[in-house]
Amino acid sequence: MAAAAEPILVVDDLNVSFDTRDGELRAVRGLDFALYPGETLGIIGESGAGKSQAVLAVLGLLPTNGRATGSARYRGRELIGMPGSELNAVRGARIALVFQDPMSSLNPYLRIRTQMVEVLAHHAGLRGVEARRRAVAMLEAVRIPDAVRVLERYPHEFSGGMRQRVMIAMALLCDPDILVADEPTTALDVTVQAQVLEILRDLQRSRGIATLLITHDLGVVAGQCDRVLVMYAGRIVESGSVDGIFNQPQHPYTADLLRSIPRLDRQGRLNAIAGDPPDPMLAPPGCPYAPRCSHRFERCDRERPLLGARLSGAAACHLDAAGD
Amino acid sequence: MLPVTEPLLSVRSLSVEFDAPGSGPFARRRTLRALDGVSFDLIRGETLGVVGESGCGKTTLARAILQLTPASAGRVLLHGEDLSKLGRFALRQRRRAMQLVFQDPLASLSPRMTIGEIIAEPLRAHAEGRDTGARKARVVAMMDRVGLLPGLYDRYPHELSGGQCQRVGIARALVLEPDLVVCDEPVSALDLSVRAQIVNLLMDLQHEMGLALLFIAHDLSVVRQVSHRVLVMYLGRIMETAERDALFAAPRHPYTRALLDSVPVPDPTLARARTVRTLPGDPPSPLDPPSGCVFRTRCPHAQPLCAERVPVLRQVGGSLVACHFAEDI
Repeated sequence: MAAAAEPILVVDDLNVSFDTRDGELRAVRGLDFALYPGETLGIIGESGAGKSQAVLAVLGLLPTNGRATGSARYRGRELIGMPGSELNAVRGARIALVFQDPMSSLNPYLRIRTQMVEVLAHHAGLRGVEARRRAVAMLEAVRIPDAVRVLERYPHEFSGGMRQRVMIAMALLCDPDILVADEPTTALDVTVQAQVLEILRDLQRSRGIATLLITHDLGVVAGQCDRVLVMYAGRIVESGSVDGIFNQPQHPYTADLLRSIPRLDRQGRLNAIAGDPPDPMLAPPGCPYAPRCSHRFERCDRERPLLGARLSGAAACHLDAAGD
Repeated sequence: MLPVTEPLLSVRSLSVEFDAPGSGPFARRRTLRALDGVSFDLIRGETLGVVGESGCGKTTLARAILQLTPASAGRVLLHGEDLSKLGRFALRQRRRAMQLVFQDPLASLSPRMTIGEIIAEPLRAHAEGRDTGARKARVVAMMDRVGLLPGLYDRYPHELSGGQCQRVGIARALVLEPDLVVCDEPVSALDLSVRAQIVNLLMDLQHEMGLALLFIAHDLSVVRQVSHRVLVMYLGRIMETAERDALFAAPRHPYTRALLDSVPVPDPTLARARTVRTLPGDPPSPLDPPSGCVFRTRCPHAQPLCAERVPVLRQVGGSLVACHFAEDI
């Protein structure tokens, strides 16, 4: 698998903070990870865990009150602090993006053709018949029937599932190395979600695009990802292979989360996690999960555990083998 | 108390239509049938899960039951009494017995009221507990029941977490001790690690108070967790209804099967082992529903008959199912 190759994206000590009326909000704290060619890396976490803010920072898409420090290198090129013009050449062409709500990422006033051809003209220098042929081919790759006619239509004429497929086709137009998909199926109905997930898996297999999949859905992660990062309160609390994470979770948060979700193949009362996710404005000195953790002991409140190697993957927990 | 077998709520051939503006100034106005001939019973202490995708009519069903949206046909009977026949005053009286828990916990709480005032509001509206001391005692007791600390009484919604806000929404719905509670996607807006708390709380309260619960959700795993019986809807119609275990063990309708197949399993080994037969296309527009069976345009088993005749609900195995070929698939 991927491990032998050079990573194509290396994120090192990434910090993201926002200036808010109530003070500084630190959304991402010291994030490290690497993405290898051809793999799907899942980032899982609840709202406020920092998963979306981390990728927005890598892509230079933070709002004006946001600030990123640290490093994110795409094939050795530093993205943090890269001038906008240079970043534009990478973003959209080498690193493509698919967001949760396709309607907000498509221009409602332009035909699909105009939007797709614009991308090709800007990033690939393709025009005219050639650009059009490429656009049709990409729509067909995401299984849109009657692609030639679809090109002439406007975004509002499509259903949510069709729009998301158009977004994926647009994202892949320039043959990117990396696809960043931020909750790509969260807004879709479950039968349509199944179609889109299948398309993403197929594209991944046939084109070998490295995918960074951000989601809060453990089912989606289990079906799509090779490796997983679990984020909590702006940090990675566990990382590992998808099988390791699901079969032998090393961090109590991961284990608790897996036990708390209702499943079609399991019965009985849910093992709810007590309490609420932490307030991102506050950062108590110890482990951020300690207030909700059933394994908590004195050291957890005093000292924040660092991410350390485990049998498989890594976990940030003072227990040697969490969950036992 | 009612004998257990007598339904608390009976819904009979309930239909709801909306006027939809046509496109262009001279276009004919069109009718959107959001709910089409839905019938079921709900008894005390029972949870009926309603599942379906966006546009299937599940929220319209909730609103029509609560008389918040007028029905174009059919009846809603609470304790055997036809709610649509009641005058305003009488309906207001009956509303005490039917309460609603909303999806978005923060948006459904007034930002200018304290938690105590919000939970006391139904008591005030129904002129109960005029004695403010007694009213406060009831609110505090209710807060305790839903797991809210008394210290939150004077706080405002924005000071609470999403899970706490949903507990407030539940307390407000239960403070009048209703018979029927309609929950419309009560956990889908909550953080993942908080959902199980609210699911467990609803199940506990239902058991303790003997509530009849109509639990509307798009998440089949949650519906299976809480429901005794399940109703599967598509484009305003019931496709299948059955006891929970029968439905999940042996789904009879092709749409129910497709829904169950589409739910991602949180287990990588199982995920790799199974082949998902995805449904093609999207649900059709409710403005222009297919003839015959509304599901036929996406159904892998569709036959010419399906376009000609609307399948009626009939008993097959443990289910009531609206499919011409339920035995053969």
